[in-house]
Amino acid sequence: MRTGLNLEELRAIRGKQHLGVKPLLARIEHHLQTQEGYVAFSGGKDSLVVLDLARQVDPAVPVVFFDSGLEYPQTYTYLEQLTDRWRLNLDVIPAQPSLLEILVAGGRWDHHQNAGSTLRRGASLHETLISRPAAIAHQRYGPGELWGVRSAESTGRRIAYAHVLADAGCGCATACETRQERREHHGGRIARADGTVAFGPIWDWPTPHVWEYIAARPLPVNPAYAVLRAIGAPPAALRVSHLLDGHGIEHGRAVWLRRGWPGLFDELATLLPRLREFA
Amino acid sequence: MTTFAVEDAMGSMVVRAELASGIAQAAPWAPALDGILASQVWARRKSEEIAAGNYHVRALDRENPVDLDLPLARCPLPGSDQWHWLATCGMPEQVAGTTRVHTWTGRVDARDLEQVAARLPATVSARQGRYRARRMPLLVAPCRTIVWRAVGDPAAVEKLLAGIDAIGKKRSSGEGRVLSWSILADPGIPTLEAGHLHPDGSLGRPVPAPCQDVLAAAVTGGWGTAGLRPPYMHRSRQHHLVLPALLDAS
Repeated sequence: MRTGLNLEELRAIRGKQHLGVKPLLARIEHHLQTQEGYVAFSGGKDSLVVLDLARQVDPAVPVVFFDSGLEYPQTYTYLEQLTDRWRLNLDVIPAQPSLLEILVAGGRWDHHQNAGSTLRRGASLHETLISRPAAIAHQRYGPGELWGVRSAESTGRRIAYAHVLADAGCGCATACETRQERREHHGGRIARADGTVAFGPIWDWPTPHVWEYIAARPLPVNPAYAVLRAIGAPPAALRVSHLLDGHGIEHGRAVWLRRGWPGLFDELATLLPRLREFA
Repeated sequence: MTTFAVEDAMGSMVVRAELASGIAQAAPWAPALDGILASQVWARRKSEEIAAGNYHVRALDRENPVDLDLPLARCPLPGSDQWHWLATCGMPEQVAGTTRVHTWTGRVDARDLEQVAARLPATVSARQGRYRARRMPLLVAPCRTIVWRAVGDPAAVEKLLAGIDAIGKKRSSGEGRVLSWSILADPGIPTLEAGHLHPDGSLGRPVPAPCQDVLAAAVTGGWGTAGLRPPYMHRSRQHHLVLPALLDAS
């Protein structure tokens, strides 16, 4: 017998108001027609929503997973299952060297090593995990990219999206007059100097909106979220990306890793001893 | 369950700590009894060394930390390299709800840096780098008591525990306050069970494969890397083990 309020059901009911996404689908279609490209899928909730939206436009859209080599174990099985279930046109591009190799070689996670060797060798995290794999993906699939980056995730992302929206020219048949029209028609599109164009269809969605959409469809989410919820992680900590990097470590990222994946944490801590200082 | 011979003064026992409000811990299992006893022995040895004017090196910074002599029996099942004390991790009792998330904050003390460093950069950023300010979650299990089982000398264990008034993380902030300890010898518990399993039969400590082969504990935390004996966090103590039952899974 079920008792009490089922929050997932509540989210699904609330999420039905977000299912009217026709204007968004039209923008995705236009993006894919003009830029081609791929969907960048991380295994997290945001890129899952973007993947679902993109598949409504083109079920065979190329899907690219940038494998850092340091993902949650659940992410890999989830990826396999989702690929089977949705018959995804998936391409996995591994980082070379892997994220773990960079962290270990960098020396910053061990008091007994000299820090900074990574930078001297020229292997920056951004270049290895993002720039280089993205360049490979663009080479294969075209200059376009659909991603789940949202402005609510960080100040930097909010500023980046605000800047591109302010700079965006309006080429609409009927010029956009209101701020809302500008956001709907031109928001979320980032054209880079190298000619690639990233579009975040859900760039201005708040986090509850994302979960409500997932519940309303309903979409299969990465089981890593269930682990995080079970150990008491608050909504702000429900983020699935790399197991570890420099981001969010001062806000307890390693604490959740230690609690939810204790064996994995201890294994990582043998290579990155300072990890224990953050848990 | 198998019982084996132990020294005369030793036997199965149940250790219980009555807590003020609960215990803060990072791992999904409460602190191990052998870890608590070893920390007490180590603290005494450290203060003696410092009092004698000797330079003291942290156990974690030593290449091969010594195995302290604890009033506990050793498990006879694993080989010599993977031996461990017969004592479990704690199991919270009278739990009042799910894990609570408290928060602690910390930032580097600039005055302290000036005292300990010969040379400082122009700025030590609190926003980035290794000295960045922290706002961290602290996971607290709200419970009235924690229970351990072990095989050892109850009188000697009681003597060591008497000096401990807080356990777990953030003790100086009031977490893990112990109101009282109770140590009860219980010869009715088979020694192997007392040294490995919680009262509910789930696996109570990280164990190597030979132990699990004999115990066949139904509820475990699966395989993973963990410390086997104190000092638990030292690299030399890390092994691929069967992990104890996870608190959050219950």
